[in-house]
Amino acid sequence: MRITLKEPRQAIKDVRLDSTSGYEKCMQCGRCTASCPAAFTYDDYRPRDIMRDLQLGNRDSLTSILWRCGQCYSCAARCPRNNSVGAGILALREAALASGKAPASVKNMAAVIRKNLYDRGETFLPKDLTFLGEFGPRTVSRCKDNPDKRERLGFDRDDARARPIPEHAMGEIRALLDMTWPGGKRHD
Amino acid sequence: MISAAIPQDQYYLFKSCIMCSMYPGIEKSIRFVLDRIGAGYTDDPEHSSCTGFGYHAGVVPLRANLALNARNFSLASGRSIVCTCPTSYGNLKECKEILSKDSDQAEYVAGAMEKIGRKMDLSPSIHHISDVFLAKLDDITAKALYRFDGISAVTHHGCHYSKIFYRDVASGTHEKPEVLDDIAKALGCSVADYGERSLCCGMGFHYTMLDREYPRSILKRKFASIQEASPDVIITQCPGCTFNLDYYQETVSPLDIPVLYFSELVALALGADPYDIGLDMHAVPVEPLLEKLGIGGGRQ
Ligand code: SF4
Ligand code: SF4
Repeated sequence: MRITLKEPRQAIKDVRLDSTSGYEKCMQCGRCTASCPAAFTYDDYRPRDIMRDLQLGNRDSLTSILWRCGQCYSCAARCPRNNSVGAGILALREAALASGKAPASVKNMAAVIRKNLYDRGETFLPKDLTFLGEFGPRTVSRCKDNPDKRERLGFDRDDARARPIPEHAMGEIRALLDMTWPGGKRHD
Repeated sequence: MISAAIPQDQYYLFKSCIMCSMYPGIEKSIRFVLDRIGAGYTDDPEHSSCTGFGYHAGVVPLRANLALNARNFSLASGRSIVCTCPTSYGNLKECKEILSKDSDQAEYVAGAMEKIGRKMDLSPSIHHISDVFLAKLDDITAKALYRFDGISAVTHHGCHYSKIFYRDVASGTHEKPEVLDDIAKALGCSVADYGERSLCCGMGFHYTMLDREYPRSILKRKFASIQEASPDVIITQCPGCTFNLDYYQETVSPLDIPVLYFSELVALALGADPYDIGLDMHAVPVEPLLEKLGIGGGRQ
């Protein structure tokens, strides 16, 4: 059967999809799927099939599985055509989030990370380890006092830094976020 | 063997959100080593996160990532950026590549930079701190107070170090990076192989905050493979991998194998007090390993 590449109905103009993911060059060899830990974990996730769907212009069908990828880039390192499914996934995720099609949990996380960047110039902060209890009683007992140990080492309890980013630098960071993050200024 | 040209001095030390949130002692161990071997570095409080954690979670837009890192490049101007996290390394390299090749993005970001009074400057080269340690192994071994002969290690390199810009791996290949192996061997450790050496730690970025079944399912395989090699220590290159391999051990597969970021091991060899580099913040107890290394448990 001969496959003709269709123009996608809603084009996403993104260098990571167009030039880096290389879906147009994909020859369906399956090396990406063979090395993908997400494909090993989830029955409905196959990077090779993602490339095929991109070739066929079936982008909408990818919406629900986009968040499976663990961003390890084993696919990129192993692809004989220098393609990167992981990079393409990022472009699709950005488009899904911008069009409101991301899961609510992802939208909430986006808000947390954006706030962290606004407040402290960091994406992840010590306070975001809210799930310490999941790691078992010994880990909890060893690590529950880590905020005190941070202080002993000369770090701020709540900041990722020993020296927080100075206010004038935070002003530059916030201005860049306002200009480049869809939705403009933060209102919360 | 170092395939990439690693600068010898004038490093711009690039801090990491996961490293400094979970293991601030890693940063202290890196500075301890650089100070001991007399390598000059800048510890600039003004740089922001590379945003890599949020970028790979799929929630930081490419443009914000490019703009914030264009600002970071301009801060580092004239110096070589040395990343403490492989995600920063891969992400900064990707940002530099996109800004060098994609004129639309470059024009937009240059305009945003101008509005905050900065000029785009893509001159800094980007390296990972393990490459620097590799390039400085002679200085490190010359200053070492301890040798770790008789200690068996396995290594876990970061995916964002060896699988994105996979041609730039400084020792070994992308299939079998050996940067950490070379560092550990120089200190006297033996390094054992294991089948799932190149399997990711399962960090997955958004999985860290949203669904931890993914890391658990991957780490089950990884730990089973490490168990066969039964090492004294797991040596890591990435703060995120350190967290995953360390914190998940108790519930996924109780192995009790301490996990050390490579700079912690090097700092110990150079005489750092384990307490001063925060080894008591690790989830798997490191004290039995310290005894084996002949260092003792530090001031608890
Ligand atoms: S490894 Fe590359 S060429 Fe092969 S199926 Fe995957 S993306 Fe296509
Ligand atoms: S980056 Fe994503 S698609 Fe590629 S191998 Fe890793 S989990 Fe699979």
